[in-house]
Amino acid sequence: MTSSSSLAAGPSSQRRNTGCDSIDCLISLSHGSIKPTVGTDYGIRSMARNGGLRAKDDEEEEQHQNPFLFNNKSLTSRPQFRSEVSKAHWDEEMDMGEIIEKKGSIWTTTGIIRNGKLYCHIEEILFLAERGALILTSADGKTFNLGDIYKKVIASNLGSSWEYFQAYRHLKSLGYIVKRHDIPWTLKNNRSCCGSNSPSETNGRTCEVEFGISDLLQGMQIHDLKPAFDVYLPNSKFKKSSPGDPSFLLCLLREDPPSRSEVENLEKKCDGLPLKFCYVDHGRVSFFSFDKGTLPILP
Amino acid sequence: MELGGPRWKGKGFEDIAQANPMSEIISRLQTSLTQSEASATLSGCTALLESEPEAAELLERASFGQKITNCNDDKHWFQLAPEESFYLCHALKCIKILRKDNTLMDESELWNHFGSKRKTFPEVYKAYSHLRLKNWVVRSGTHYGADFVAYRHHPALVHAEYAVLVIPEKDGNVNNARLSQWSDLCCSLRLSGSVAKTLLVLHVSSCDRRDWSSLSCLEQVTVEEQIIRRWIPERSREDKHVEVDEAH
Repeated sequence: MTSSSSLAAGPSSQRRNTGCDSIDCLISLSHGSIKPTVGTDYGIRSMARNGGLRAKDDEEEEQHQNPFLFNNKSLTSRPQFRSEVSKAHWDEEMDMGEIIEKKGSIWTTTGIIRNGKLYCHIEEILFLAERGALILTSADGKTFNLGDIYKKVIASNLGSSWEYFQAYRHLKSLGYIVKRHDIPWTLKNNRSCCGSNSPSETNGRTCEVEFGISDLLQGMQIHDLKPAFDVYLPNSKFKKSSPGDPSFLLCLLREDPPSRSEVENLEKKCDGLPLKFCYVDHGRVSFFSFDKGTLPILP
Repeated sequence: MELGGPRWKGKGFEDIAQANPMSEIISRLQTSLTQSEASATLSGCTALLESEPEAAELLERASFGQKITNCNDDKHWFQLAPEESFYLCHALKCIKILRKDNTLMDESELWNHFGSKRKTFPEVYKAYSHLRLKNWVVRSGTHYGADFVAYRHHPALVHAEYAVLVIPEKDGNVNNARLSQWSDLCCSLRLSGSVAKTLLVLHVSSCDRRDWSSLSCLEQVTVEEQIIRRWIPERSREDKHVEVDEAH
């Protein structure tokens, strides 16, 4: 939002926050310093215009589109299918899509490499499919439509899957580089496609919270707070082979805010990597940090 | 002190609202969803509803759920919050709920499922349905520090009138800590002022906790409405109804 438009907005603009509160909201951060530099073919601006991801003043009411207009046009924008459409093939055993046709620059920051092949988790697939950048096919050549992919996300073992997807999509649309926690960017020996840590292959620090395959397969209610995603700042020079440390680890919250002891336990295990917490409620994705305070003693 | 009543967002919007009473929209929505045998698939607390174009338009007009952007025109997808999907399933009886594996979930099971995910679901649902049954439009208020925000009609047409807090109550004594401290009360009033001007507290008389596990308890529970406002004596000295000046 430019300053001229905020002047025109009327009295509510006077109450606009001039900066972030102590409850950091990454939504408002996106206004300022962080501009997506990679993967602008996500069509971020068109998505933002149409009710999904525009950052807004926390205290204003939500913007709503008027469904009583008489011109009957579709109320949500449909991203055009791009000329550069990648293709993925669903691999039931790996529980991921194998990218068989790579198009566009998105692949430097999306997907993981196993034995020289590129794979995507279901949330990455849905993110790209929603933007018309990827087509997913099954083993017998049938194309999955969006509805099929939504159902695959729901059926996946990734936590409360739809909420995880919303958090993923929110950050990814803003240009952040997002990967499931504890899953290496690249693996040379295909020992496992997810779950086990292989510090010899990954660079950077990792969090020691175990996120074993058996937990995933049982779809257990995992009550311990653990990071869901590793998040890196937008970076046009990002390399999966040497990604460096994530900028922060993202944990998804359930019903209640985290207790201080939960936060402390998590911090201990995460080797100094910054933590952010995400709460998805009624389609709104909010981010918080709960950092230890150290007020200076004043003269 | 009288407040100004509903604030419509544009010229002619009040007329649009009058020409499209919410009760009619919901009734048509009910019919449309039932006829198309609509179903929603459950994922944690969210349900994803697949609907035909006609029902999709009515869902938007009645302001249920959130449209998920997509590339197709023939199928529309909405994500529903727990109270919304339960309301459509149980109160309006116009959608079915499916588990991940596509099997049907009955209402009692759905009730228990949501209750296990959110401790406060029963009271919050009762409050939601109380307002919806009166044809108010109810949206999430968590972001504004309330449980819900209530509108007289579609949020695109009118500003919110109430910020709603749900308080479970047993025998007239407040059962939990909300609003029991002045800093909480003033915080809620302050926040509600920036959104909707008036704080509405819904006191839900809760059964014994055990009874909430049974869906039939819903019928026996009552909701009392209470409006909490700050009164500004500096602005009330004239002996006529005055518009409250909000810039304080």
